[in-house]
Amino acid sequence: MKKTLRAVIISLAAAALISCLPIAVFAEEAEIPEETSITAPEQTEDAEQSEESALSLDGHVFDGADALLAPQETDLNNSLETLKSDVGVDVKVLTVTDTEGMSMKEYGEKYFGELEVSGTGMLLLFNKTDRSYGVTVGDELTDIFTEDGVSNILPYLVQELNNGESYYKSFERFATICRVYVEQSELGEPYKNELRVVDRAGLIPDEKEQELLKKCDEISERQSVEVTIVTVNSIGGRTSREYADDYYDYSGFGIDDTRSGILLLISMENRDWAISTTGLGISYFTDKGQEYMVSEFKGYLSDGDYYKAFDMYADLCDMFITEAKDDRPYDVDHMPEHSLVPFREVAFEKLITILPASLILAFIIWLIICTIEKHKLTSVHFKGQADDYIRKGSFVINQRNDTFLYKHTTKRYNPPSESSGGGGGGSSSHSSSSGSSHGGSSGHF
Amino acid sequence: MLSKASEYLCPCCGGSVKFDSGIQKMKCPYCENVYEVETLEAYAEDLKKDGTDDSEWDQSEQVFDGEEQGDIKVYRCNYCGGEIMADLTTSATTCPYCDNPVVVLSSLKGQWKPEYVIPFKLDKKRAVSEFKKHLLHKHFLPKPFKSIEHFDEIKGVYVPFWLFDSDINANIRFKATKVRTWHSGNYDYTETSYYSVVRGGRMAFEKIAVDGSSQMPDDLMESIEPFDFKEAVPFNTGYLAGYVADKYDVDDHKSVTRVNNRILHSVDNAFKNDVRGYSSVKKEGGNIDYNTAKAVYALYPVWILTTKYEGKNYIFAMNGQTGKFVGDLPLDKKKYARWLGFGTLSCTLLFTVAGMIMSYLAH
Repeated sequence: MKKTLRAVIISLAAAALISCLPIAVFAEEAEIPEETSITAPEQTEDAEQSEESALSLDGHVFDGADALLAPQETDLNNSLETLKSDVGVDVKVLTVTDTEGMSMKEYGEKYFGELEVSGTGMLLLFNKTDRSYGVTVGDELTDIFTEDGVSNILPYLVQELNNGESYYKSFERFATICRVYVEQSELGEPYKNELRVVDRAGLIPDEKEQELLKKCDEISERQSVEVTIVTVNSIGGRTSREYADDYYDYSGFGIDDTRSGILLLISMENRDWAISTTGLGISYFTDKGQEYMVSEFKGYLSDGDYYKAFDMYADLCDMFITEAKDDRPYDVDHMPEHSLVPFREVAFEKLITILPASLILAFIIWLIICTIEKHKLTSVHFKGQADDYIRKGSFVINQRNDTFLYKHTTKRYNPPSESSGGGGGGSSSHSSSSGSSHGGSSGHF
Repeated sequence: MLSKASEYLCPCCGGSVKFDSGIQKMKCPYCENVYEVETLEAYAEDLKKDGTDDSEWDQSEQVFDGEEQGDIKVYRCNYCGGEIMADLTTSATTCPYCDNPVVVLSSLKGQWKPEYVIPFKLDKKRAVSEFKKHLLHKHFLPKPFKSIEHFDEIKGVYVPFWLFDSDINANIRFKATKVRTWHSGNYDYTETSYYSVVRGGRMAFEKIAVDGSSQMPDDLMESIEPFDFKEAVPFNTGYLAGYVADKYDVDDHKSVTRVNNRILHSVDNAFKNDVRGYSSVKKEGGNIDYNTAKAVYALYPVWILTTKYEGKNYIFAMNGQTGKFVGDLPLDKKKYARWLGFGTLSCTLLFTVAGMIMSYLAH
C-alpha cells in the first residue's frame, strides 16, 4: 500500500509544486477504542484493492485505511462531487492507518499535493489507528476556512466519533460543514462564529445590523441564552429547518454546556423562515410560543420591513426567556396578554376579518327581523285541526302497547383529540444532522 | 219558487225594527223603542193572522230562472216598493233604496231553517276600530293603506255554518325510537332502539264549525274561529234584521270531509302526545272510527270589510262574537328592502366597531 502511494507521489511531484503552500490544522484528541485499534489482517488485501481503484485521481475518496464499506464510499464520493458542483469546493478524503512517522500536518500537506487537490480544495486526512483528523486547506479557501474556523470543526467531529458515530457519517458531516461555511461566506465575508446577527442576504443596512447585533449580544449575555439571527440568499438543497439546525451547531453558539439558544433563519430564495432552538431554548420556546412569535413579526417580514421584524424577534425572545425563567414558558394556556405589534398596524387585517363576519351576522339578524315583520301582515290560514272543539274530559286512552322491535348500533371513530384543549402544548424536538437535539418551526413569509 | 221576505215593524210607530247588537234586543231606529225578539216574532205572527199582505213579498215577483241570471232573484221591497236584486243564497239584506232591513223568509224555511244563531255582539263601529287596530305595529304595511277610511263594503253577515258533533274511537300505531349514545375506547356508539307503539282511546268533538257558504273563503272563516256556541240561541228571524244573511250552498255531506280531516289531525296530535319517553315518534298507521252525528245548521255573526288598494281587493273578517280580526295585508316591498338594507348596514357598522374595540382591548 505504501509503495503504491509512493509511486503516486513521484509521478505527481510536479503537480504538488504548482499548488501553493497549504495550511493545515490537526486534531488528535480522539480516544482510541481498543477494538478499532487493531486492523484485521484479512482486510489488508481488500484495502489495497480499494485504494488502487480509489487512486484514480478523479475520485474524492481515498480509503487507505479501509474505514468505509464499498457502497458508503460510493455515496460519499457522490455527495462530495455534488458539493463540488454546488459550491465549487473540491473536498478529498484520505484515510490512513499510519503517517509514516510524519506529523498529521506534514502528512496532510504532502498528500495535498500528491492527490492534486487544487487551490479551491481541501483534504480531510483521517488516521484510523489513533482516530485523529487533519485538514489541509487550499490557499484560495483560507479566507473561508480560517485556522480558527477549522479548529472549531475538528474537535466536534472527534467528539461525535467518540459518541459512537460511524466514519462514514463523520465524513459526510465534514462535507456538510464545508458547505455551510462556503455558503455563509458567499458574500465574501469570512465566517465568524461569534456574530449573533449575520445578514448575508443584505436585508438590513449595516448600521441597523450593528444595532441589532448589540441588542442580541446584550440579551444573550444577560439571559445566558443565545439569541441569534442569520439571513442567507440560498440554503442549497436542504430544508430551512436543517439549515438552521446545522448553522447553529457549526457556528459555535452556546454559552454553556447545553448550548442553549434560539436561531432565526431567513432565506430569501424561497422566502423561508425557520426557527431552531437548542438546549434550554427548546423548553423556553414551545411550539405554541413559536407560533405566537412568528405571528407577531411575520407581517413585517412579508412587508419587507426586516429590521422591525428582527428587532421584534429579539424583544420577543427576551420576553419569552424572562417569562420562562420567572414563571413558566409561554404555551397553549399561557400566552402573552398583549401583542408587541402596535394595534394600528394590524387594524386593517383585523378589519377585513371582522367586517365580513359582521356583515353576514347583521344580514341574518335583519333577515329574521324582516321575515317576522313580513309575517305579521298575514293572518289568514287554514286551521288544520279541531283542537278548539274537543269536549273537555272526553279524551281517554284505554290501550297502551309499547313493543320493542329491534335495535341497531353504529360506531364512529373518535379518538381523544390531542392538540386541542388545555392538555396540549409543550415543545417538539428532533435531531439535526449533527445528532444534536433541536426544537423549531419553519414556514414561508 | 216563491219567496217571502219579512221585516219587523215597530208596534209603536210602524217603522222597520233592527237588531241592536249592543243591547242584544230589537230596537226601532225611529221611536227608539226596544223590544224582545220573541215579542216582535209573536207580533209578526199576529199581524199575519190579520190576513194582511203587507208583510209579505209581492207574489207576482219576477223570477229570473234563465241560464244567464240563474243566481239572481228580484224582490220588491214592501216598504218602498223598490226592486231588490239579490243572490239566491241571500236570506237577509237591506233595501238599497230605503235602507230598511229585508229578510227573505223562503230562504229560512224548511231545510233552509237554521237551528241556532249566535247573535251579533259587536257592531260596525267596533269592526272599523278593530280594523284600525289590525293595522297597528305593521311596519311593512304601505303608508297609504294605513290612512284608508273608505271601505267598499262593511257588512255584518250571518254566515251559514255546519256544526258537527263527533265521537271518535281510534287506534293509532306509531314507530318510536330511543337513542342511546356512549363513548368507549376510541369510538362513539349510537344505539337506536325501535318500538311499535299503539295507543287506543276515544275522544269527542263538539260543534265543529264548517263554513257552509261557498262565497266566504274557507280559510278566512277558519281564521276567525272559534265561536262560542254557548251563546247560541234557537234561530229566530228577528236576529237577522239589519244584517245580511246567506243560506248554505255547500251541504253537510260535502263539509264532512273537511271536518274529518281536522279531527284526524287533532286526534293524531293528542294520541302522539301520550307517547312519551322516546327520542322520536312517527305515526305509521292506525284507524279512526268517526261517529259523526248529523250536522246542525247555524248562523254565525261575521263582519266583512272589503277595500281596494292599488287595484287589488282586500277582504277582512271580524268574528262578530269575539272581535277576532283577520285579513292579509299588502307588503311594501320598497320598505322591506330599505329595512333589510339599512338595518344590515347599520348593524354591520355597529358589530365592526364593537369587534374592533374588543380586538383592540385584547391586543
